[in-house]
Amino acid sequence: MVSITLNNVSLTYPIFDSKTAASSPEGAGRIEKRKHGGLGLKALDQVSLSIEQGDRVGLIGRNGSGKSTLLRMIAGIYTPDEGDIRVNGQTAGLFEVGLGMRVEATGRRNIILRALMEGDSRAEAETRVQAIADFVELRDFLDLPVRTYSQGMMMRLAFALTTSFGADIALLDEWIGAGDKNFRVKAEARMQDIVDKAGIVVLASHSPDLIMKHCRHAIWLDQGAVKMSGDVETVVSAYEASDS
Amino acid sequence: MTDSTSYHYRADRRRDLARATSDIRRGIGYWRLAIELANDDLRQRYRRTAFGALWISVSYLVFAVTIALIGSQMTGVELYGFMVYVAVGYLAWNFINASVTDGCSVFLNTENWISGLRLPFSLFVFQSIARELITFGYGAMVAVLIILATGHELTLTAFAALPALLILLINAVWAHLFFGVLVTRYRDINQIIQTAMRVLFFLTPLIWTPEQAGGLREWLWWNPFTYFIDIFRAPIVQGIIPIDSWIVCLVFTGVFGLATITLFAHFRRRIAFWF
Repeated sequence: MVSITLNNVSLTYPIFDSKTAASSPEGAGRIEKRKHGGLGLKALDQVSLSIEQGDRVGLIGRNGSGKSTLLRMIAGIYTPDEGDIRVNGQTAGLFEVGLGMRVEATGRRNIILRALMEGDSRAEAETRVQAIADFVELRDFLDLPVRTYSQGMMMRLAFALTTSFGADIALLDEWIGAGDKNFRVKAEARMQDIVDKAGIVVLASHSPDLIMKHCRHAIWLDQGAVKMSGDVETVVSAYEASDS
Repeated sequence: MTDSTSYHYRADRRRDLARATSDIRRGIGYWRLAIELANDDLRQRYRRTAFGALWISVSYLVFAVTIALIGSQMTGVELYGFMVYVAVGYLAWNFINASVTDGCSVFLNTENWISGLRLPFSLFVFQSIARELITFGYGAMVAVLIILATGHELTLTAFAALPALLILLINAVWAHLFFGVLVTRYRDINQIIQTAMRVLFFLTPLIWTPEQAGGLREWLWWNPFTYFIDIFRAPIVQGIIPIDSWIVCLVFTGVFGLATITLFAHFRRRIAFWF
């Protein structure tokens, strides 16, 4: 059964670029002294949550409130300083465009590399290319280096790479901005597909509209801690009322 | 990402060692991908050149022949024998040097992947080593040509260079993990190592023989690279297996391995925060 469970998860990033920073923006994680010296940013503070299969959850909060960190935590890229995280199901994360891609390699080559990463054999990877090519509709651009793509094209490829390998859990960070209308429809359908197959979609955004449109539940993060969670309307209206 | 569809992580320092060894195991499981990525690296490096990666062979050939010519003129040693000596030693040195210097930047160069996907850190180590091995192959082709062209006589003992290469490979894994972790956190170490390796090239018997070293000879034995070069070069060039050097290399490999695994286990999960 697909699920995500976090128990009192905390994470502090080391800060190397300043020895004197003391105040962080409103709503963002706090800066604190670290045990072994230097400064740290408390990105997640005792986060506990549980997401069940078939759910679409929005993470909302101000800039720096821990949304992206939490997504990366669920994806297993970051591990907690304290606490315990359990994820049942295969995750696929879409964070920044260009992460997990070789921009100097062609789109086709990137598909093959990602397929190998997902455990495909070389032959399976080759057959995978066609299916993904049909989805991204980049035509002959697929044979050009990714660095020549427009932001929107790169987004399409990144989204396809993330969602084409049967992941149960899609972790999407502000993804929907790029991509034209046509592609948004396809992307929307694919997200629905994941949820229909008893998967989970977690979408992080500071835009209440986007969260309202795509999610059923919402989690409001503030200073790296869960401020409120529950039904999307309740959480989003509380967030909007909080004069941010 | 693929080896299991469930993921569990509890913050617990006692599990660091098991997690580090499992990282290395999973990295080995990705060997196919490591080779593909290594090929991409080389393709990218020699992009739009007519000869492509053959430039590795060309530059190696030019270096070995030039040094041999200069050396034999300066010291009067027999040219062909010295050319084989330089060619084989330089081949091993290139691999050692690359595994240290590329090791320093192994995680810095792959930040884009580390912060986007849950992959074992060691995958990038194996990618780098695969690239260095391919480079080694391009040099080795020329070394074989030089051996054939000079009429240097090989004995069966020459095969003892193969286990020596294995030792170099194991130490390459250690060097990548060790310096990769240190340099990602402390960037100055990168500059120190790059400078040190340039100096060590001249302080290791590569373009001169220990017999020519004069007073330096006493100090030579403090340089660990002397032994690693020796176990690879001596079987091919002199047809002997240097037991003393082998013992030093084996002990070094064991100690370096322990230090590396300890360091990697301790800092592994923090690497992602150091970019």
